[in-house]
Amino acid sequence: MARGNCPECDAEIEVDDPVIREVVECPECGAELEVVEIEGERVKFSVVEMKGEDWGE
Amino acid sequence: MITVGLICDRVRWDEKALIRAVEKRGAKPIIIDQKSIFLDLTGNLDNVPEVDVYLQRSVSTIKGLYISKLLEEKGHIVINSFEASRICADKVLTTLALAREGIPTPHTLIAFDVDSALRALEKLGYPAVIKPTLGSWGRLVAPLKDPQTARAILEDRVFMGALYQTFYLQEYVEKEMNRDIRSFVVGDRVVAAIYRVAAEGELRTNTALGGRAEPCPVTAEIEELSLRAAKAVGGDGVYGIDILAGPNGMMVNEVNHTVEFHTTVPVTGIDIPGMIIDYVLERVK
Repeated sequence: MARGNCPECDAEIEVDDPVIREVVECPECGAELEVVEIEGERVKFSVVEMKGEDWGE
Repeated sequence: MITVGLICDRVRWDEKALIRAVEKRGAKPIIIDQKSIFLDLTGNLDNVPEVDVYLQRSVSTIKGLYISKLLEEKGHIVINSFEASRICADKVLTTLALAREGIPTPHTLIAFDVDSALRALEKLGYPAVIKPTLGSWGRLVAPLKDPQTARAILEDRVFMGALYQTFYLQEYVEKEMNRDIRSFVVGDRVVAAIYRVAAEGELRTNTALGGRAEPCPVTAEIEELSLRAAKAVGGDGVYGIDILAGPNGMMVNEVNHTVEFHTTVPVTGIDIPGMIIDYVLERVK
């Protein structure tokens, strides 16, 4: 289990077995975050950019 | 050891499940972050990790298409193929491919001008539905209830830019129990299906818009229609087929080429990511 802080509200967020670019939602403020750095048990998040008009499946 | 390159711009639940499925099968996943690469169109691809097979998982449709095309051009296997993805990404091309194969699909017209779109709508009848030719998750899919509201919505689309000025106009199909069906094709099999029930007061069933997923049995009709639709857009790949069950039977509405399954796996208990990776590894052999 790794931990990091939400860049929006500073809440501590736990991520199980994180992967770079993994998207998680902050349980406190609901911001959509992306894992950008993993260092041992610490992860760094950044807020996900706005949705693009060609996004989809 | 077989290496599988996952081309991603975001690693969601779906991509993480695929990564774990690759590892579980003794192969090596390599995440290729779309944002971290550049591509040499006239030279070689030494900037992109070389793997045995690439799985295209980009959320950004256009970027994903370019990367797939380039990798194929250099002789690599990409799932899904560029050609099939290009057809699925463009609703006009999808409808044409389905119609060519005689697969039931809603009556659809396109127009490029507000007045001609209104004439097309007279032919189609009200209510109708307008959709962007490119896009997903139900985004900007809108009901056109009468000529007055249709004109207002069409005029708005004109101001939204070139992408929205091809008006894709479709008959409105009354959905049984306000739900449609999403089936999952992996290779030559239909591995799962769900009902997508639209949220209260919502026309669109997309789970991204609050639609609820429920298990759906893969009937002979769903299986046949799904496999035919997958074949019509290019076959041999992984597809999500949207099926409407209306008063005149089942119709294929859309085919998706970068299918999401995070809602379907918990509802059906079917290991779709595992089945996708089994298929991907099979393609390398």
